[in-house]
Amino acid sequence: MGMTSDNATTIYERFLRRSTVILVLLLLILFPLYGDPYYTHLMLLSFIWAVVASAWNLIMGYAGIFSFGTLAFFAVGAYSSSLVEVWGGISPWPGLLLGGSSAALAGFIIAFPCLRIKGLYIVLVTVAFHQVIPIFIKLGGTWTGADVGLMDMPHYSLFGYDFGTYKICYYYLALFLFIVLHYIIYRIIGSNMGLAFVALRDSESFAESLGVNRAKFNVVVFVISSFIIGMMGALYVHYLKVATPRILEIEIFAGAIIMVVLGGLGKFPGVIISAFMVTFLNEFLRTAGLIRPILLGAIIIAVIMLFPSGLSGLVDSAYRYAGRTLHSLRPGKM
Amino acid sequence: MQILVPLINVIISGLILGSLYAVMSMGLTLIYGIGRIFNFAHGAFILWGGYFTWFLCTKFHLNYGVSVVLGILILFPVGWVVDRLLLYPLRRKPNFEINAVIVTLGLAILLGNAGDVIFGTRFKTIDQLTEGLLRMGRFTITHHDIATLVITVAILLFLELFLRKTTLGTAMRAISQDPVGAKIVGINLDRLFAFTFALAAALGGISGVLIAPRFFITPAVGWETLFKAVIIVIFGGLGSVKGTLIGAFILGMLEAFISMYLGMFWVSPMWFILLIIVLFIKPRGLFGTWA
Amino acid sequence: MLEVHKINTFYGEVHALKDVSFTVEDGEVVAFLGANGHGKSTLLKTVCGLLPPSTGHIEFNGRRINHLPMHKIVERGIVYVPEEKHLFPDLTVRENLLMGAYIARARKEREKNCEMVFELFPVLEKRQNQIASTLSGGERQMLTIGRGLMSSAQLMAIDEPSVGLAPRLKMEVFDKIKEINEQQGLTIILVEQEVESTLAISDRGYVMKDGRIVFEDKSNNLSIDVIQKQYLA
Repeated sequence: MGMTSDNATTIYERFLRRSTVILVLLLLILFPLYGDPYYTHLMLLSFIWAVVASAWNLIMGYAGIFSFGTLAFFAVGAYSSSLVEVWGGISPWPGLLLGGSSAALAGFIIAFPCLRIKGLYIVLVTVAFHQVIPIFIKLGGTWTGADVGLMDMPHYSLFGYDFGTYKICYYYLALFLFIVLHYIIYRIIGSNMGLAFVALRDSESFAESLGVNRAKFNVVVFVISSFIIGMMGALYVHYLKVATPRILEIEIFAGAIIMVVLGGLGKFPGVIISAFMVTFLNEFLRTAGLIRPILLGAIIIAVIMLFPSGLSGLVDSAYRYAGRTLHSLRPGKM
Repeated sequence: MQILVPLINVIISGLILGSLYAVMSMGLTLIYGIGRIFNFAHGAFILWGGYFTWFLCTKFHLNYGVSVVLGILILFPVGWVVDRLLLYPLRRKPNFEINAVIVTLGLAILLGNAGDVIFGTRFKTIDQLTEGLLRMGRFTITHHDIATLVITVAILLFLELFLRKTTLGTAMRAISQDPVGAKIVGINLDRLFAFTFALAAALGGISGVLIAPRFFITPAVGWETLFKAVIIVIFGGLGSVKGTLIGAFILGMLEAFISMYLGMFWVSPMWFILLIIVLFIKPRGLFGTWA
Repeated sequence: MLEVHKINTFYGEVHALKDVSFTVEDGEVVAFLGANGHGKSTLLKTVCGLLPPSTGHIEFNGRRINHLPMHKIVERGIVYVPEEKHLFPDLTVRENLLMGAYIARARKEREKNCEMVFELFPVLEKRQNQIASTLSGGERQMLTIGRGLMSSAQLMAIDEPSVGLAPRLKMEVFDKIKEINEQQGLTIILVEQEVESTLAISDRGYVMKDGRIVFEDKSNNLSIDVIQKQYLA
């Protein structure tokens, strides 16, 4: 027999994975045409947060850089794009790229002090960065909208459709970015760069002795992840039509951390699933009011204590199991 | 003489603030130095020191002083239980440091808002320990401030003696210097980690009790005190008791001066700027030993 | 006193100890010899509780200890003197010694043990208020052994005490180990690469290769040649 049992199951697994992905994408594309606008809204938010969580997982789980303040780049992207459009008259599409770029620049700057320090200190630096931004926003007064928020950003429009009026366009834009950016992240992980990250994370001195330049890779991963997250921030506030410092609040932060951790640090499909789960959960908990943050805190604790390898571990096991079942069901088996 | 009076007042304020900050930050340093983790829930312990005091004072009409003692007595076992329930199981698994940060973050969020749920969101205040001012010539200090100073200095002295002279304290220093060596001499590390956490919770709680009369007690207090404690601890050097002590006094003094001469508005930015400076220029702080 | 039955220990994926069995009697000095990386240190770590075995069991004075955490094994009477020393660098010599007597049984005899250690190693008494990181290599080795003695143990497991020391100091260390064994009846397991000196002070020796015990005999019958033959076989 040409194939070992393991090889065969892997082929089934791959087939299952690929077909699931295609099926899901089809569903996502068709969804807003038939679904309730409320759920479309939630899906949209989920797309955005899934990308943010994946990029966060890239820097924290894959590259092993404990950047807890990553959400700050979300705000940088949100505000820089909005400010430049409102006060500088730039149109929103370049504004989107600008949001990503300024976040990338911020990521570049923050990366440097993080080079000299490790682990815990990086947590503190990035959290400090996260904490500083609302202060600057509030100091900005009417220029930044302070607590009230910055509004009147120009709307995206394509082929004559104004996104502000046709919200479904936002959905497809978000879906598009969701697919494209995840594809990019996926390719990065599979590339030499991805290998370098894992090598650096697991055995730094050895990797360096092989010529892997830690400084370069750390800066690169900061820049890439903050660019992606910044762009999502810009999209987010354009969709909501207002940019406020509330995007950096503890509840949003808690939600995002849950997504990354529940998904499984350093592993992929789980993060996307948990982003959807948390977005929906957050929405349903909205009526809980004061209890919500308590529940979020409890969930964070429960997730870490019970699922150290996150949902991704479960997903992997599920595919493996299904693959094996298919393999044993194949026709003509002895 | 004109400049001297306010100057001395400021220095006294600075001393009081410094020793208060020292007690407030010490728990964080101890947990990092001995347990090698960052306790995100540190601010929550401080906040709950305030909540317990408020609760005992308002509902049971207990004396403020008694509340202080009870606060310590309650928070110590709470800290012990937190370590046993949450940290002990994680120690055996991989990625302990990052898991500990996340689990304490979850705890901080949970505890931070639990107060609002349990006690309601109305503003809470506590009266001072004692009313009255002490006048010495042209200087004035409130009796409360004197009491605060006395209590905090006593705590710091006690802590110093405990760490230097007692076997348990020396064992804690030993763990921070070489945990394998500590195992070799037969120290039960799990038990000592729990003790350290409990001690840190109690210290946080005491500082919360002492700080409580100055503020409204709201969840934000938990995050603000955590933030300041973090800056102090990094400034002094993570894990260094001496560094935390000195850092707390320097920063307390600085805050007193800025508050007096530049105005309260500049106090918050001062802390942020300090943090950025320290992290960018000398992340190890004054006496830091761990990178 | 000590019975080790077929233990297997893993360092992650590496199978470091393979079906190792041996015994140690009261009052003996037993040596483990062999090249680096063949399991000698892992063996000591397993016996002393730093590294649990995957299979097999260890009995000390008739009671099983392989599942116990290290602090309990110290309480039962086995103390580990590691090659890396693991001294407390910012504690004084005296504080290091006092820490050695941390367990309850030893704490009662703290002063007595301390005096005993100072008699054995006068240089430690001289430097007792100095911080441990300021000591020289030989002094650190003495402090490590001294700290081990503070625990009033019955069995001491010493890992390569002579490594990195000048020849004269090496001799001193071996002499002291023999002295401790003879004067106090302390049973000793010794892991070493210095074959001759080790054989001179030990009663029996085991040769380890690739994580297994490949040869054993009384020290009188062992020599470098015998050991080398095992490695070439």
